[in-house]
Amino acid sequence: MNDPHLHLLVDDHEIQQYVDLARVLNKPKKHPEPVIESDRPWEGYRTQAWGSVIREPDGLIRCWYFSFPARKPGEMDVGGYCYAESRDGIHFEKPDLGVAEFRGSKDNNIWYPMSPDGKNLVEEELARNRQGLPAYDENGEPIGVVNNMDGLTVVRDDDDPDPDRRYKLIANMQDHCMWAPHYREHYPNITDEQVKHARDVVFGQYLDTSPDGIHWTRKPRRMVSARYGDYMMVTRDERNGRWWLNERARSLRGRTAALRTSKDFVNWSPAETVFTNTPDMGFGAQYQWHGGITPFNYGNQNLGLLEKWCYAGFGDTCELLSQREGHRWERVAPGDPFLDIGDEGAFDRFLIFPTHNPPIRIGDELFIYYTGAGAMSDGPRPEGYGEPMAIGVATVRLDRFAGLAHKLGDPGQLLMRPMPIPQPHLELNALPIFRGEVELSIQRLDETPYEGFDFDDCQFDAYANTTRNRVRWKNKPDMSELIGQTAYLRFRINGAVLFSFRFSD
Amino acid sequence: MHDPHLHLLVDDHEIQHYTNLLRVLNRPKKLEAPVIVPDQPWEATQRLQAWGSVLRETDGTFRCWYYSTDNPVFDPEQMTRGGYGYAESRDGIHWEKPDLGLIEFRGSKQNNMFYTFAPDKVQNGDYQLALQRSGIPMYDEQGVELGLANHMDGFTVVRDDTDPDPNQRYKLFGNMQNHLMWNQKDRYPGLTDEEAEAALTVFGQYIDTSPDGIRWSHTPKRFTPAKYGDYMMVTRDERNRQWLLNERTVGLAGRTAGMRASKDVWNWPATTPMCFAPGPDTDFARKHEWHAGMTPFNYGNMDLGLLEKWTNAGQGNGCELISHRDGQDWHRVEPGRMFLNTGPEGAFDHNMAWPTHNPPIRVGDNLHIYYTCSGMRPSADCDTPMGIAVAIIGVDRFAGLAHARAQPGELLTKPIVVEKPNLSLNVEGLLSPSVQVAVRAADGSFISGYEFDDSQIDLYRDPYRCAASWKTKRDLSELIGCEVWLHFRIQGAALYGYRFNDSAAK
Repeated sequence: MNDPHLHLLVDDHEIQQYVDLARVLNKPKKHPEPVIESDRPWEGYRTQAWGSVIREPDGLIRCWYFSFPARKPGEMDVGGYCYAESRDGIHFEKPDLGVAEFRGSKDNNIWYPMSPDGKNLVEEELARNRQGLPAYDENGEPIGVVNNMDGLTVVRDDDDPDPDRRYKLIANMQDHCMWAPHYREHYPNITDEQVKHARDVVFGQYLDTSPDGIHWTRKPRRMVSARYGDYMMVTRDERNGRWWLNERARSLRGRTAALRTSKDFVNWSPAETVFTNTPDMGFGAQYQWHGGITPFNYGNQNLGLLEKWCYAGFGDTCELLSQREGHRWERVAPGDPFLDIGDEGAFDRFLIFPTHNPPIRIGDELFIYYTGAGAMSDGPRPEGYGEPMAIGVATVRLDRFAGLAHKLGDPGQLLMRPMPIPQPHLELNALPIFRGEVELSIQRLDETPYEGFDFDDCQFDAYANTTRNRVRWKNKPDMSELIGQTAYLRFRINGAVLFSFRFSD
Repeated sequence: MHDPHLHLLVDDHEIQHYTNLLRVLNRPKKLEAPVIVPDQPWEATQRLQAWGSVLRETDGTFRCWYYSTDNPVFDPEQMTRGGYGYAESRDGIHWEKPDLGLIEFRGSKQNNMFYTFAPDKVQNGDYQLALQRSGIPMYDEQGVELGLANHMDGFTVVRDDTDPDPNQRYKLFGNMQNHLMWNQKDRYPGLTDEEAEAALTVFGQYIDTSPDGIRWSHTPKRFTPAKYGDYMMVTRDERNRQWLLNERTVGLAGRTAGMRASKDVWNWPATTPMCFAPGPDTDFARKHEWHAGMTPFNYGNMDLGLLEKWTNAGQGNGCELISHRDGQDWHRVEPGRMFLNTGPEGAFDHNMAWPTHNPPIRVGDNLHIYYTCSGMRPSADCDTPMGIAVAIIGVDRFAGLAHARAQPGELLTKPIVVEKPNLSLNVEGLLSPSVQVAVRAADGSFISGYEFDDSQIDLYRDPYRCAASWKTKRDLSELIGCEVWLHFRIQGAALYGYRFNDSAAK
């Protein structure tokens, strides 16, 4: 997604001025049904997607997700960490991995059992029995066991020279007995000392590695201690050759989002709070930021999805974020969700938070996977059962997150800040609304047009409605003669939305 | 929809106070495709524009009167297309266009056209009629002929059961015009300024009548000259036994919505009070303006409406939910947030979603909200594709007070007289939902037997009508006529409204 020649119009950063245009958010279209639901005996009733989706170079789409346990008597082996894959991004299969044992068989899609013998057991049962995977600190010293992970992310790391470390699992891992003070009836024999050790020593953000994303060392090593809770995720900042660790922080009131960075998964910068809870949310009294911002490179900047955690239901949505190097993260359309909850009865009725990965490009579209949560409509929720969840997908066309729109009146005018012309061609991403006219003039710094590159020379068919639609010039084959020049791009937009432009060769 | 015993929670009017609750807008679910699209030879090739009406007859039949616009081309063959069509449905989703046998199109009367401005009832487009200086005669308030009209806009068809004359059971309200008034000399060769000015005197709001909604007198009578443009609609205010005429007026800048009321459809106030003015959030109409439509209708013991937003930036011509109490101003339930929103890129309603000229129609436990949808032009020389679509929402569930986490929400109503023995609640459960209701006396004390610990409400059996009872009290019979406070405790749920009933909900 990192492309220094792609310029989005989601913010004003590169814009000198515009008139008769307004910024519009282009909300993705949601697939009507979930694409991954809980439908296996070991998955229980609730598929929770604090996981990741990646697309392999061969096109295979792979999803690592968390199926939330019910922790009921007789179901202490139900729930865990599961895997699915798809060729089209919509229809997923759950292959038998042969990794974990569930009721005497390894024919299942569980990829990360946290019991030492590989049998699938929920964290509570493991913690009660003082079992789990061996946990190591930053220096490789054993510090206890972990039997639960939250906020998991799986990434493919092609920069690691060791093929056995091609895939990395980063997660908040815990010895679940740390929660004993909150669930005394479930942990009658856990001592205060055990709780303290689990909370103050073991609780942290861990790393495990795998050659294929299926087979893991199951010897997770702590990267940093968890300070503000169990939420976390990791994404790649390709532009700067580093990783982002997005975790929770403390704000004026309640939770909010923070970021760390690292080049090597070992040394992480201090957590920096990205957003605080502000007056428009009653300082966290009406809603707070959940913690997630899912940062990712897009074009020559960064985008993200800020998770809103609402105290009134119906409101666990995501806003679109934008960031430029050296600048603060900004909300593109404050108060207007980019990913919005579904209608009454929908599987994503009150929560829609993205999986821990950038949007995935498939053809001309971006697939945004998300966790959807709905209400239980058929009766009271049994004790210990959370709301039903599933993984859904929303799609938006390439580069069309937000744009500058015009419809009526005088044509809109957009003047970009001076920028060097790096490539011979320019592609526009425009959506025709009414007249569907987009024209371009390339101008010197004194605002005189370069000969052959003025509005009258520009030939552009917005009704082609393609996402990377090349501008042509009446008397010039391309912009080769302007390469290296610093110029103004001046657009005239009439009855259309312009989302972005891109220099290409 | 008028029901004095139904109390919605879309505004704070009947609320003393609430804590740990937030008002949430419940948006209707849209079907994936329009329910009526242009598919008849006489209909315009792409545009089916629903400045019309849907109503449901007492036998359950849905009826829709709609407008299919002319193609904007000067091909005489094409210009005979477009006009006023009629469709019916049994379920509100699947529609048929019956042959009405009224208007001739290319030699046949087998079509669903219900109205024409062609004097010989041979279908012709409004531009073509104007070109031919043709139309049907129009009459003013005194019955004096004004001239010819060949076009109508913003029309509404209503069923008027209050009219003693069965031949006037259905009324057609429309802004009618002689299209020459627009003085387009390139379109109408030979048109003089005098002709255009004479045509302008016809411009007005008219009524035609019919015994069945199909056969009309074709002698429309004006009830008001048009003042601020061609937008208009009429709905029934049953509570006040009057008709509401919602039309365009002029605000501080740009267009906005105004409304007049009449008891008899013929006599209307001369001035049109403005309901919404373009304000700072619209940048005084530079960013957007109110299109004028607000589709007012009674609902419960109050009024609701759908305020049409006309954006100057595309992609946002949706509707906000508005509410109104007698004697007070209209207000926007959640300013800036669309109740009826436009669809995502590529959707049939990506550009616009505006309601037809009628209240929502109840179908079982749902409300059908019909709307004109408009998508994206496929090419520069094509018109914007339009159709009629439907969005569905649970009965009474427009907006409510919701709670999901932290301390339980508390809602105390203003003092209210117990009207009927049974109380039912409309609740959507979210996370481990629980709703209790206590009844407090006028002095604020809890009435014995009606305290929170006594409250018993099953939220799953019938969420639209959750019956309230108390351990030792089946209902509120003993409190009928008493002024009380209703005190709700809400956890993990949204409460949309409550209703006093004669009999217990199921």
